[in-house]
Amino acid sequence: MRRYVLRRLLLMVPTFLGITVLTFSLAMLAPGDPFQLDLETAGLGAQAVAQQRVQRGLDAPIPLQFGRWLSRVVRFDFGRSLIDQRPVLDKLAEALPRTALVAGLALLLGFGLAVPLGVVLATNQKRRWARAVELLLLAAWSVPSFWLAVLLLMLFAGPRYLPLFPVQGLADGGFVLPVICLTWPTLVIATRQVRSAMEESLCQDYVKAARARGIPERRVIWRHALRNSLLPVVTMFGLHLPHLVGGSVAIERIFGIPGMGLLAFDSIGTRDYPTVMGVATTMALVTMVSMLLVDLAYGSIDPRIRLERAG
Amino acid sequence: MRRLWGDRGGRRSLLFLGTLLVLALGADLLASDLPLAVRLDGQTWWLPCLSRPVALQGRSLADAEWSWRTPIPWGPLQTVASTGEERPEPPPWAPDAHHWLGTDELGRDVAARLLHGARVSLFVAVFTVLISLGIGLLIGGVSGYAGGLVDAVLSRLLEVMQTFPLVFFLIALLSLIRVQSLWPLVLALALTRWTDVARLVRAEVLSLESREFVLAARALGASPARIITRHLLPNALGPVLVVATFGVGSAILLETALSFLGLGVAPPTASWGELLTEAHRTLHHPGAWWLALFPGLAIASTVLAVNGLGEAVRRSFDGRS
Repeated sequence: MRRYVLRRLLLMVPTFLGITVLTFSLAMLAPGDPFQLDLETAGLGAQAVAQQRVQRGLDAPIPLQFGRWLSRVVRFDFGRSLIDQRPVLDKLAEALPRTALVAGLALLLGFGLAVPLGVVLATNQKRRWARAVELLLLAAWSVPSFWLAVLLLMLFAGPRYLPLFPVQGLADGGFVLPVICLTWPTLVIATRQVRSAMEESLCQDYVKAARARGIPERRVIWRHALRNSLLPVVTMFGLHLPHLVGGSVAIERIFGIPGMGLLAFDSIGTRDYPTVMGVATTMALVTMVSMLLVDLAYGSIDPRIRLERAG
Repeated sequence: MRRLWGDRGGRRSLLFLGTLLVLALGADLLASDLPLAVRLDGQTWWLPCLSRPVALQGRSLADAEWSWRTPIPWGPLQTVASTGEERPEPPPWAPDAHHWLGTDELGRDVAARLLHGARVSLFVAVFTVLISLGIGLLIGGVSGYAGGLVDAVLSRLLEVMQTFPLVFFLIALLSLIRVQSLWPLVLALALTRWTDVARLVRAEVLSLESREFVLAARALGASPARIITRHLLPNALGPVLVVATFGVGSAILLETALSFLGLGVAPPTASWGELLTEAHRTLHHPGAWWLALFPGLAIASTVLAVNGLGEAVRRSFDGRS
């Protein structure tokens, strides 16, 4: 077990390097830099801009800059923002909990509701209401969460109808609407996944065998079949995380939540390279670690999976 | 195809999407500031809404002997300033007999913008999927067939693309290539969307590779390129088509989100995402529900039809095997 984890951690290194190189070169290749923007707005002299660039090491060749950045990051030093001169680590420490709150709640709610809903749908396939719910799910899948956000804002935050929630920010229950918007797609996708996995396991021989042994139907469904359907669902859980983070960029922007998504968006817009890299690194680490946890979870869900050999 | 038509859900989706395609392609004939035909100064113009002759620019149609207007007599970019409409209250105006689906804050007709936006959004979605399909087939096919080091490198690339929140990538890429045309957007979207196809094709190729007919082809001396293009890819087509169909739906949704972030189609041009963004921008007009409702319905019903088609494609291929 320990060897497997160690191996996986080592395999993360090339992936991590790939992501950082990709982000770094993309950020650097984008036209303009923060000092150029300064020049345009504050009317700074070209010489002052050049001086600033040299001071922050932006005049060095890109590979060299990347090397410097990497050597600092392994010592947990993400540098300072080029815009407000604050340590990037502080900015990340502010933004991450907000995104974690909203996205985490959405993830828990989405998958927490999807499992019972998917099971109920799979076991009642022939019923008319189950078909209706199914159609509803297909319809819900097609609704952009962004549209949902605009409608919710209009109905529940705008002054005209039911001003229950604030238009911007997380305080005063402001997290409710963004959580709904992020839960929505998660719930729909996860329910479909649980349902199809359940349908498959319910046709398996061991389910028949369990029924034949006189085990109560409820136990057959919720213990025997469900446990065997969880594997693809857990896989999806891991793969869904990057999507959720991506989706949170638009949602955070709509609801004015200063989280990771908004930080990423703003820092890319202002070419604040250290912050861009900080956000990308954090998100990559979070995703990779959660993928590892998912793989580790396989072993406890399905003891047949031997991690050491599969790795 | 015939099997799809026989499937009830498939037929419904195909009919809806076909109609939408006709409407989108014919947007200039359905909603334009210029008429279908007009007689002005003793000269008859046919289809000026398509050719947009210079001679008609800035001319008022009130001077015409006769004119035959498009069903929606507004162009997608016509604002109050250019139509000269006078009403007591400033726009946005609610839907009425003049503007069937209302207007936005600048007095632009929502119905006209929806029709013209359909063309842009469908173009972006379809070409994104076609290009990403090409990239995915190539990388997945090569990776699965070659194996060894090539496969290891390409698999790692896939993992990087999957781990990395794609929206970040898109934001960075699009701020890098800011050109006033649709192709950069299509390319950027395609560059992020090929991974699903590639992963699938790789898995399919790996499972097909050891089957008898491939071994037979190899024994007969077929070149790798021939084996990939003639034997492996056609057999992997089913699941790939399913993924591609669903991809159109998610590309439409992605375009919406990008427009909202200001990275989609450049503003005055109408696209569905741009229309929704407009709706968000006018949230301070409480009660301008038509701005959010109609574009949202258009997007949702289109994506629903595309997803329904995807399900039907899946069913028809399941039935075969």
